[in-house]
Amino acid sequence: MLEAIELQYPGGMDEKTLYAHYRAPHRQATQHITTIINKLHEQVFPNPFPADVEALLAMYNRLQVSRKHSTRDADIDSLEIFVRAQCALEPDERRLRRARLTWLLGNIAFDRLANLRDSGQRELLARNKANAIAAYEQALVDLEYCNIHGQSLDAFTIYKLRQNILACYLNAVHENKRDSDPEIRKYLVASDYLAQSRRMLEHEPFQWVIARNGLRFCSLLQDSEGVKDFFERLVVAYKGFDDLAYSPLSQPSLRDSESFQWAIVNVLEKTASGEKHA
Amino acid sequence: MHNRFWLSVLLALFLAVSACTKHDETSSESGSAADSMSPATQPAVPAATGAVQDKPAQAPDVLMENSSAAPEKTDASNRSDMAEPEAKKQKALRKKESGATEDNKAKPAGDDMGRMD
Repeated sequence: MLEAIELQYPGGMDEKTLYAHYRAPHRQATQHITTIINKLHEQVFPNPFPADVEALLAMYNRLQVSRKHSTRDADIDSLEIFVRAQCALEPDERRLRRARLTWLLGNIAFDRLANLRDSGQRELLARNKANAIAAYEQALVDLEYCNIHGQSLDAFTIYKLRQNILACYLNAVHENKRDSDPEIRKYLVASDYLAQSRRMLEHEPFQWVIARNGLRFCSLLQDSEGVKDFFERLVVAYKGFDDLAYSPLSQPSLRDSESFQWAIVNVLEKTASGEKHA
Repeated sequence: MHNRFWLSVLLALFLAVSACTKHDETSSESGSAADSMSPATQPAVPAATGAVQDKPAQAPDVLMENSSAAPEKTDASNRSDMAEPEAKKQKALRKKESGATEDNKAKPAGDDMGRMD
């Protein structure tokens, strides 16, 4: 495997680096390593979507994180108009393409949620939340149609859309009010998210983000057994999570996040102290 | 010879005293660094420019206010100068309150769920 990397990408990477990035969620990859990993990922898990729409999505993602781009918000607004028009032009025969374009529309609205919530712009927040959910649901309809009619997509692609819808419900609410929000609970139950997350982890146990989100929602539902289950899965993904103060890249540690406080106080700390006494 | 010596001493004292008197008069009027220079060394430029040359570390607008050669400001312009830092401060606070600062844009607040592509 490493020899293959070396042949394709001169000055590739050593085995230790590759495994460190595979195992440890706190490690930040350099641009060179990111490029190699992305290319490898593309070879092993080929992207089912058309290359031109993927390029548009990649361009938007770069624009979205760019801090020096002075006209960023205006450019995103313009892009949204273009993508919306493009979605309307796509015929039913090109559902896969239309689904990815609609997914991009969902992403644009999704990325506005945190700032609108924090700045208290309720109307805009509600509109963008509704737009994001509608776009993701439309993409889901198109992808499920593609799945039934021959263009088989992997289960993870469908899972991603469902988790994005749930994230719209969650991110639109302040962290300290999420426990009592009825819409989050309603979609969480209706979408069967926790069962689907378990299924995904059976196939890909290294997906620590899925395990962490599972733990988050079990804590929100005050489900003790679920908390134990997803915490175990999180530690399987990376043993560093055994320490509640462990912080993965771009995420707070479990102890520092309000979303996990019920799980820590009522389950994880009790389990830890029980193990010590035993 | 002796008298000539004392005459030159008296002349020197007179010149020194008159120079001091002249300096006191001008400095009490303006108080600028440029005005304290002797007429022989003072450059043939407005006093305000000389003050800037003498104190390059200070901000130009502060020096203009201190200089006697600087045009007098109207009350309105003085008020706007006083209000400007306060307005900037309030603007910054509003931005902070609204959560619309660049830092807030870059960092997700709290523990939000990321989207998957």
